[in-house]
Order: sequence, then C-alpha cells, then structure tokens
Amino acid sequence: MSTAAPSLSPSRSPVPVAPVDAPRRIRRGSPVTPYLFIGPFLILFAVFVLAPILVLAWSSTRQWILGFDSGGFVGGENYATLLSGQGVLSEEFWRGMRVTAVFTVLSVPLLVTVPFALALLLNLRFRGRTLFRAVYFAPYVLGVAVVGVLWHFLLDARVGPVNHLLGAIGLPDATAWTTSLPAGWVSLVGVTVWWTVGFNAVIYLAALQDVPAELHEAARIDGAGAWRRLWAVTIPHMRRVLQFVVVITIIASANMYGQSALITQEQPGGATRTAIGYIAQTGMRSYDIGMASAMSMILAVCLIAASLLVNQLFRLVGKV
Amino acid sequence: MTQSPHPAPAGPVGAGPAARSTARRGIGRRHLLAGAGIAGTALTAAACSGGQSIGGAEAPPAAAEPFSGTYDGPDVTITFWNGFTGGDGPYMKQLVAEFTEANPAITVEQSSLEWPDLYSKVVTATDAGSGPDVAAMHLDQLASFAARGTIVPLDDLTESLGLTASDFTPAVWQGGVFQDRRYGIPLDMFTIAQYWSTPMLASAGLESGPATAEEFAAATTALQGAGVAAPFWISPDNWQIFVSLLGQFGGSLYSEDLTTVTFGDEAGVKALTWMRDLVESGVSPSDATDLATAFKNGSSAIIHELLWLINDIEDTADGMEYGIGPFPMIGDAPGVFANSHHFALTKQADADEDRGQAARMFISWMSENSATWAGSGNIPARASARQDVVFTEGRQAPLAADDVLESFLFLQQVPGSREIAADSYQRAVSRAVLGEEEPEAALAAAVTTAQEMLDRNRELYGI
Repeated sequence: MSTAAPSLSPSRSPVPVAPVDAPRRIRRGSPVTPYLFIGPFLILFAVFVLAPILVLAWSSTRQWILGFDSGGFVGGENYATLLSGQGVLSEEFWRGMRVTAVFTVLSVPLLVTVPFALALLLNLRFRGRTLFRAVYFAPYVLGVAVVGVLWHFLLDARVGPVNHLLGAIGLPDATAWTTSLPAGWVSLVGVTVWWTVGFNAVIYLAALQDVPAELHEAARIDGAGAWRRLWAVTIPHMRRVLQFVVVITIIASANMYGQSALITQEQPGGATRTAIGYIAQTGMRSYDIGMASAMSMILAVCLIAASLLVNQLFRLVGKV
Repeated sequence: MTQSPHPAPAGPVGAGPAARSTARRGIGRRHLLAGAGIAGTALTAAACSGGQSIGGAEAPPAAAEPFSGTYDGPDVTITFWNGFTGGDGPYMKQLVAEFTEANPAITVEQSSLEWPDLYSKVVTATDAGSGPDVAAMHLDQLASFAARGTIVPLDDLTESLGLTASDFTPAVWQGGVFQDRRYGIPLDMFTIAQYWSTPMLASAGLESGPATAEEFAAATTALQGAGVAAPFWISPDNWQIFVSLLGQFGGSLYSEDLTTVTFGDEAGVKALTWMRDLVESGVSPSDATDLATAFKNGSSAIIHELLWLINDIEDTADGMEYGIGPFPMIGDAPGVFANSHHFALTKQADADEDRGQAARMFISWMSENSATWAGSGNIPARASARQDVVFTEGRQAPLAADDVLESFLFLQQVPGSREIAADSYQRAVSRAVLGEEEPEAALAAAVTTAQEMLDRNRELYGI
C-alpha cells in the first residue's frame, strides 16, 4: 500500500513509484472466485442430477436385468421395442403414457388457474387473511401416502363418507370414484388440486406482492376497472412467474404416481396406471433396468419438449 | 462344521500363531490387535467378493460343509429381513428373541420392512453384500429370486435334518421347490377364509356359513329375504377367489410344465362368470372395494378374506360376533387359494462359512419352534406347531382340518409371477367384476399378455 500513502511517510525511499501503476492495482478479484461460489452447487448437481442422467442414458442402451449376465450393449434396441407398439412392454408403456397425458391435460389448467384465483383472494386485505393462507397451504405438507390412503377411504363408493354425504343432500350417492372412469379422473385431479393448490398459490402470492402499487393506482386514475387492471397490469407483470408455474406444474403432473397407486389403485383393471407406475414396475419389481431406463428417457424427452413448447408459447404471447 | 479352519473375522483368538511371534519381537498389544483386525477385514472382504458378481442364473457354490443341525462356531451376527410390519410383527420379534436366548452365539439383526420394499431391495442389497443372510419371502416369490441367484438351495439343510413333507403338509412342502431344488423352508400358511356375521345369519335362520354352491345361493337368497340387500360383497381385487374357483373347476394358472398359460380355459371362464354374476344379480353391490369395513359395519353378511382380518377385527371391532370357516366349494372339487411365508437363505450368507452355518441354524430353529407364530393369525406350517395349544385355541384353527389343508392351492413357481399376475389375470378379474368387460373376453386378453410375458421370462431366465 505504499502508493496509497506516499505523503504520510517521510520520503526516504529513493525509488520513485511509477504513477501509471496505480490504475492496474484496483482489485478485480481472483478468476477462481466465481467457480468457488458455484462449486458446492455444481458438485451436488453433478452427483445427483448430471451423473444419474448420464447413467440413465447409458443403461437405456443395454439389456440389463438385475441378477443376470444379460446381453450387454444393445444400442437402440430397447427404444425400438418400446416405439414399435408391438408386445406387452410397448403396449403397457404407451397405455401408461396416455394415462399420464390425460391426467396432465386435465390437471394443469386447474392447477394453474385455481391457485391464481386463490392468490388474488388471499392478496386482498381482510380479517383472518393469514389464517386462510395457512389453511389453503396446509394439505401440501402432507405426504402422498397420507393423502392417498385418506382419500381412498373417503372416496370409497360403498363405505366412503363422500358418497354418504352426497346422498344426504340428495345427490347421486353411488358414483364409483375409485373404480370407474371418468369418475376416477375426477377423484385423481380433484385430490391433486386440493393437495397442491397451496404451493402454486404461494408462488403467485409472492409475485402479486411484487406488482408495483403505483401502476395499479395509475390505472385506477385512468378509469380502469378491477377486471381491466387484472389483465392490463397484474397478468403482464406476472408473465415470468406464470411461465414458471406452468412448466413445473406440467412436470409435476407428468410425474404423477402415488395418487393412482393409492387412491384408485390403478383400477379399473390397470386403466389408471401412469407411465411412472409402469416404469416403477419394470425397474423395481421386474428389475429390468435397461428397459425402465429407456422408458424414463422417453418420458424425459417428452417433458423437455413440452417445456420448450410452453416457453415458446409464452414468448409468442409476450410479443403480441 | 466340526472343524472350521476359517479364522474369526475379528479378535485376537483367530490370529493365534501370528500373535505369538510378533509378541516375542516386542510389538505392543495395540499393534497386535490392529493387525488381527486388518487380517479379519481382509478375510471378510475376500469372502464377500466371492458372492459379489451380478448374474449367473445358476446358484453360486454351495457351502463347503454340510449343515450339522447345530452351530458351534465363534460368535456371529446374521441379518434377517422380513415384511412382518403389521400385527404379526411382535410375534416375529418374540420368536427371534427366543432364538437368541437359546443360541447365544448367534446375534440376529432383524429388519422389518414393507414387503414391496423388501422385494425391491433384496436383489441389489444382496449383490452388494449389505442385504440379509436370511429373508422371509412369500412362496410365490421364491422362483423369481432363485432364478436371479439371490437365494440359494436349501437341500443340504433339509437332508441333514431329515425334514420331509410329513413335517409340514405335502402341498406347502412341495411349493418351495423350483426346478427340483428347495429354496424355502415354510414358516406358515395363510388362505382366504369365509367370514360371516353370526347375528345376520341367524336373522335368516342360518347357523353357519354355506359350504357348497347350492348352500351359498340359498343363504344369499335367505339373507336378502331377511332384509340384507347385498349379503355377500365381492371386490375387483378379489383375485384370490378367482384362483380358488379356477382350481375348483379343474383349471390352473399355468400348465404343469410351466410353459403355457391356462387360466383362460373353460374353468377360468366358469370361475370369473360366477364372480361377475354375483354383482349382476345384486348379491354384491358393484364397485365395492373395502370389504373388511363393510363386514365390520354390518353391510355385508358374508365375505371371503385373508386371515389378517382375524387380528384386524380383534383390534378394531372387538366383540363383534362372527364365525369363520373354510372357503366354500363352488366348483366341482374343493380348493382354495393359499400362500405361505418361507425362510430363504441368500447367497450373501454363503459367502462366509460361519454366517452360512448360523443362518441355517436360525432357519431350522425357527421352523421347529414356530408355535408362537400362530398368534400372528397364520397357520403354522410345521405339523408339530399345529398341535400346540397356542394354535389349537386360535381363531384360525378350524381352517387347519386335514381336508381343508389338503385343498390348499399354492401358486406355481414361475419366475416373475407377480408381474405377470398384475398385468394379466388380476386385471381380468378387476375388469370383469367391475363390468368393464365380459369374463371370457377379459380372460382372453389376459392370456395373451401373460403368455407373452411368460415366454419372454423363460427366454431371459433360460428355463
């Protein structure tokens, strides 16, 4: 620091300090610093995300069944079998994919809009607001096992309270909520909405509080009604959050497994077994790691495609 | 096991000669112990690596020494996995405690996990050497794990102990055999029983549950006449009833050589049609899934359910007046679905001489002293245990009459049988009972699926 305080010390040094050096001595930090900051996360990401994906891709190209010296590298044969549409593996897998697709299409619109409406309500000023915020979030803290077992009992067609209550108020009381379609879809989607509505609502709520109050005020002065303000101020401001919610909700719905395993128990006759359900059966019970990996890869590619599509759509809407 | 040259994995005793020579050279006791520890670890590692390889449908080399019937080796710890997590858990705990008391040299580390978890973990855990030495498994799962080499044959044990079918029942004894080798020693048997509400039957002038198809039809009619709208409830997951009726009508799930799927034959159609007719005629409501609750709350007068319901009623509906009896004969011959918990020995146990012997000792002792197990609600497999007062005073004792035991139909030893079942006949039963499809069509589709899965498995497993 001799350059910083040359005048304070007696000028005993015969060596003059070159003034051109001064600007170069501004500390810019070590080039290693950014890597040290992302390091901890990078390690976790590499070990728990990147490595499993690579192993998955690798194992999907092998005939690998635990307990057997099976065929080794088979290239794209697992994929070819699954994509052929022929045979039990392919038929069951695509049946599961259809179930997953139906569930996603039915649940995502509700899981995007209902929490949004809820967040708008919870963002108003009223007595007991905090209590309601907690109440709507409460089911989310339950595990899928609790939710599944609980609703399987509640929705039982013959001995469950739901039908009993419906009958008590004069509505049809013999709907087979867990053993027939389409009633089974109503159960699965309904329970999922009840269960996870709080999570998306909390995200929306946080975003709503970020919308500047001045904009609302300005719009109000310009004579915009509540509806107009919602569309012209609130929603455009939440575009990024909406996009995020849509994408994670699609992914969460496409990964549905517990609800159909516990509430409908894949009834009627396996008609509500999702793709994940069949992947679990193939990998965990038949130990067919190669085939289960290939199925997972196909599902992952479908999800990546869906996410990209959503991002693209939001970009288009944003340009309008 | 008379003369094991195998040193103990830990402790200075096993390091005998080396200990003496190093001590003379003046190396302290601490070094000596450390040295013994390293030697022990190395030995254990070497022993384990023998059983590590994944694969090989054929069984790994059997234990070098025949089982003598007793264990006189050094202190050893064995791991025992089972799925007794419900009301049966305490009885297994007690049985294991009794074993440890009688065999202080053997410590048993017991892990109770849900059956699906046990089955999904046991293959990889055993391959890694961190699985169980002894596992309880259902009879119908033995072939799946035997074909993978996870569990090893127990013929040496039964030969040295002189165990035969007469110590158990012929059916359950034969049930533990896959490809002419024995893979399990039966602990118990369980089956579906007929439960009836005594007061409801009395209101229709009946004393006990029906035993034949005619009696069954008469009983349900009488109950309906007495005001019980739906006297017998059947659910879409009552595949055990289908398996029972299939046998009663003279059919089987697979051909005797286990190469052809046969449940879609006439017997299967008759069985499934009888089940569907119960719903169509209104004897059973449609879409019933929770039979136990319906029985306990007085909605259903008669149900067919597994033996766990005995303990369940005691826990949740104590004092309920009900009767229990064998599954009725609806078809042409007696027959009822049965399954059994078996003790199986894993290849991991045989990687170490002492553990292998101790594990065999454990299995043999548990089988011989299984009377305590009757409290779990199951039927002890061991004939001697069925004479014990613990069992003869149990609620399930009427199901252990000789003629009932003879009618037990155990599932055939087909590798991958549970996956085949889930995607084929269990689905057909569900679809037919729910009225989604006619019994014949549902079965035909299921046979196609099952045959393809069976063929693929036979190719994979090389059988």
